[in-house]
Amino acid sequence: MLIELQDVKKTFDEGESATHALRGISLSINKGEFVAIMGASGSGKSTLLHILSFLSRPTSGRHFFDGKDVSNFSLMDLANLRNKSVGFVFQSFNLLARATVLENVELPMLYANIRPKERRQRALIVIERLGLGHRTKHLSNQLSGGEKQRVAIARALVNQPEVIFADEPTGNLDSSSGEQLMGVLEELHGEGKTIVLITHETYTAAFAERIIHIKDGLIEADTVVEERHSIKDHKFIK
Amino acid sequence: MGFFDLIKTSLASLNANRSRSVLTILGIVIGVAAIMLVMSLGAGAQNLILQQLQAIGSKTIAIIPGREPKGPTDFLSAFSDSLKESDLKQLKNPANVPHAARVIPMVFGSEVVSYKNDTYQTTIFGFTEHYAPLYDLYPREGQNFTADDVESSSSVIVIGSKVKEELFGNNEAVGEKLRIKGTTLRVVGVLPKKGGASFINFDNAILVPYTTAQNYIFGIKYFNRIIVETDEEINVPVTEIDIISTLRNAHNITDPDKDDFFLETQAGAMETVSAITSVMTLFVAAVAAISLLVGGVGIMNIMLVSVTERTREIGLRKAVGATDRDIMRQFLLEAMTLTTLGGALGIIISTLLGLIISVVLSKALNATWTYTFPVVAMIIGLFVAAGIGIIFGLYPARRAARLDPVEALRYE
Repeated sequence: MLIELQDVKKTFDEGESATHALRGISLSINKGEFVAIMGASGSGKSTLLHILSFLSRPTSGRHFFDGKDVSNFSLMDLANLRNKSVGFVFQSFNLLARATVLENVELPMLYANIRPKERRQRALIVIERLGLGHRTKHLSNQLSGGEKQRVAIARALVNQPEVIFADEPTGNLDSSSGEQLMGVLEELHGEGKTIVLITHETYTAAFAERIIHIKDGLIEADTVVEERHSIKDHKFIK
Repeated sequence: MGFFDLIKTSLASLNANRSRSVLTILGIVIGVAAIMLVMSLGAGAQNLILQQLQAIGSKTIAIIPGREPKGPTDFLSAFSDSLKESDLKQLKNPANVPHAARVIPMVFGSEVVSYKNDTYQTTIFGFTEHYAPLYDLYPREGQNFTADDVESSSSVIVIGSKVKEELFGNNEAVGEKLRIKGTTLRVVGVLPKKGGASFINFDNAILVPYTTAQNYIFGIKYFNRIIVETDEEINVPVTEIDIISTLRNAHNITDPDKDDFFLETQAGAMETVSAITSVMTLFVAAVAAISLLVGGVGIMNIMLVSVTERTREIGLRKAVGATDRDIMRQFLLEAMTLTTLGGALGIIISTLLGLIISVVLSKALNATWTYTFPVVAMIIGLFVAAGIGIIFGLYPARRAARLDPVEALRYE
């Protein structure tokens, strides 16, 4: 078991009224699993992702990662976990606009204190793998949406994390780019990476092996996907 | 993050907003340049004045009538008629002032001299013939006036090189007659060119026997100065005491606060000049330093804007593993880079301006104005600039470091 939550609650105190974003979530995700988390906006799925990905800490409950209780980790330890153990793919790409593709992909390694030469080598390998070899020196704001998201995946992969967290990764892409992206995630899953996908699209969620539905800060359903989508079933426009 | 990467990251961010960065550091540039320039000009002025004071001679003591000025607005002290012929006799008496080698009275004033139809404004100095050994100044044409001339108030004069040039051009001056205030005076000598770097500008002066100056030109019975030259430099302090007691006796003064004269020596004058110019320089530099403070506030303002603008970037950096400390250091270093760059630019500008000003002043003053590169001010300037970066960058950097990554990533 890679990730385990035990009765995790998250409350946001905003003056007099407190918002209970998560009201007691228990779940576990195995190494190599491809899990989709679904829910309407305001359901708490984003808050859940933030806790799973060490961006925030639960108000109560326990959070285990790779056998360690990280519920009470310091901010510094959490930053370290984000750096080494997880990779992020965001809906809005979040690339550094005035930096090149290479610089964007190197960014996580900067905070991992990896030497410049190795940084460059590793970044180039991942960039090549995602079919962006010809774009290495381009500024990220010169890229198409699909390319941007592939840079983001390259950036997520470069520190060789255990888990990839993808937060609505197809939300800003056209359907063809979206499918290509899901193809990449599928491929990574095939290689043994654990993938946690947040989405509100049933179609996208069906690429995962398992779907967790969140409603009002609680798990509504946790189901295995019977008929998985696969990129192999589709012919996308090249 | 390694230090080298940190610098690279900071420079990249500053470079991305180049025009803003340049405008931001302008305050620091002007501040540092102003301070450096003031310091270097102050040192230059001090050098120039000290250089001129050398000409007083280290063995001489000047006795000045009136009370010692208590401040820059103490004008009254400048007008006094307390030094008389009788004082001269007392001072010349070896029983009173044993180490006095020469006692030379001096009167001076500004007058218009005319030659035929030409007129020229000069300074008239009345001396004894001993001015020549005192200032090492002997006529290059003609000769000096003599002790007899002084004794008998002869109408003879020695003129400076510039005066000669203005009134006579290339013609012979010795033997010609000039008029000053209705008195006709005969030129007996012309002084060599001395240049501006002396205490008295002899090039533009007319020297006459002091008796002639008192009786025919200024119509006074007192002296503007009495110069006492001691036999040895080492006897200057003891001679000062002798002079004071002699004159207090002669003037019936018992309370030193009521002294109607004061003494000036080369050492004393240099001390005073150094003290005054140093204080002035520091004062002006302190005023200039205020602009550094204003520059610092500008830096803080821009850094705060930058933090707000780059909230998502900060969120992303945190998401991929930047610690609070990484973010803090990045923004602090950006502020420091800005201010240090500003400081360096200020130093370069002030050096260029200082060099130009020194050339212009040397020409204008007809003296050697040496440019002094204020090394200490430069080092202090750089440190202060970097320090301002730290002080005014700290608050924005802390704000950046403490951003919640979730909030920062969501920021629109």
